[in-house]
Amino acid sequence: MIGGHRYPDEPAGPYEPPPITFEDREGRRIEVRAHCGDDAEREALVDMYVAFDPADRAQGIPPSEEGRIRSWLDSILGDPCCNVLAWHGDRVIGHATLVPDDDAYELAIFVLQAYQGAGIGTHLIEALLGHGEREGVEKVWLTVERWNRPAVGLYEKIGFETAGSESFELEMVLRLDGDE
Amino acid sequence: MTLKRPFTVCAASPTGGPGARRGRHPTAAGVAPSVGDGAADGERTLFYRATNVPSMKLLLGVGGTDDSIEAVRKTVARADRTGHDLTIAIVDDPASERDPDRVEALIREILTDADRTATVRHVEGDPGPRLVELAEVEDFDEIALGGGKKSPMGKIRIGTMQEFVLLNAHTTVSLVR
Repeated sequence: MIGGHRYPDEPAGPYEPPPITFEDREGRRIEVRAHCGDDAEREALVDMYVAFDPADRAQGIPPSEEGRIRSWLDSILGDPCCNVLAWHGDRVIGHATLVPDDDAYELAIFVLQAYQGAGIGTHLIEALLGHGEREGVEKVWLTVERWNRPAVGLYEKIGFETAGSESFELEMVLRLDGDE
Repeated sequence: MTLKRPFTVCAASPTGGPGARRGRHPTAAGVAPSVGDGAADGERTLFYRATNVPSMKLLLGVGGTDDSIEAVRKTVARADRTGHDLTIAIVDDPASERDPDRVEALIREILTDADRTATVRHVEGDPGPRLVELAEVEDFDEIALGGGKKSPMGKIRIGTMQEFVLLNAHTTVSLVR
């Protein structure tokens, strides 16, 4: 199931790596930076997930209780992973991550409810893929609930292709030009 | 709704802890009582204790993926509490890396450790349809399945067997988490 995908022959991108700054559709100034691993950043990210609306959970993540959030973050903020954070002032309002899985990476993105629908997701994923290219990532996959049309549309716009439809979810794949 | 069999209803004081509650309502021979969840202060908890009711028949489908083995552990423990009549069906799950004999050995180990008995059987063919059929033909009350594999990210991924059973079973279906 996982890992058996056929990836596109042609790489998507290139994508601009972080840091990037832009104004969202609500006129807010948003900055996307790669996660540098420091504790203050991690705490700001924990705050974002503590505030996260459980209705926007996808396939069981993020978890909803602080202890579980922390142990989940421990597993995805480690060294081989790539993480970018979207900041509004001193607050983290979005997070996108690539987690290694054999020779490929699984992608996920989360944007705080009050910041959704403002074009932040597109910038956040593009910055993540730019960061991934720079780190040598070549194959990226994700799963998305079939009925989540806005998310599927976003992934398609960015360059993902549908690789398969396993039960309730779609699997999508993308190749990066990740030669270092 | 009509109750076909006699039920005893007892009211418990909200101050007793779970242990005190169990002590107050001892298990009838062969039948485990359902114990209410801890009630918030000021709430009254009702305990419905069935007497002389045949235990529920529970069918657990196990393919051999990690989540399905975990489901065996949790369901055996649950049957121990509730007195459910448990049948464990080993099915051909293409997503499993363990062969059926290995799966059976693991199940026997779990049952031995828990000091429980259950009917263990092998079910050949397409697992989803076979489980649904078995539940209907043999009059099971509930089908339980593993809760889904997890991706490296931690996303829960439901398999085709689970989807088929959820959409087609006429019994209650549980995904064990």
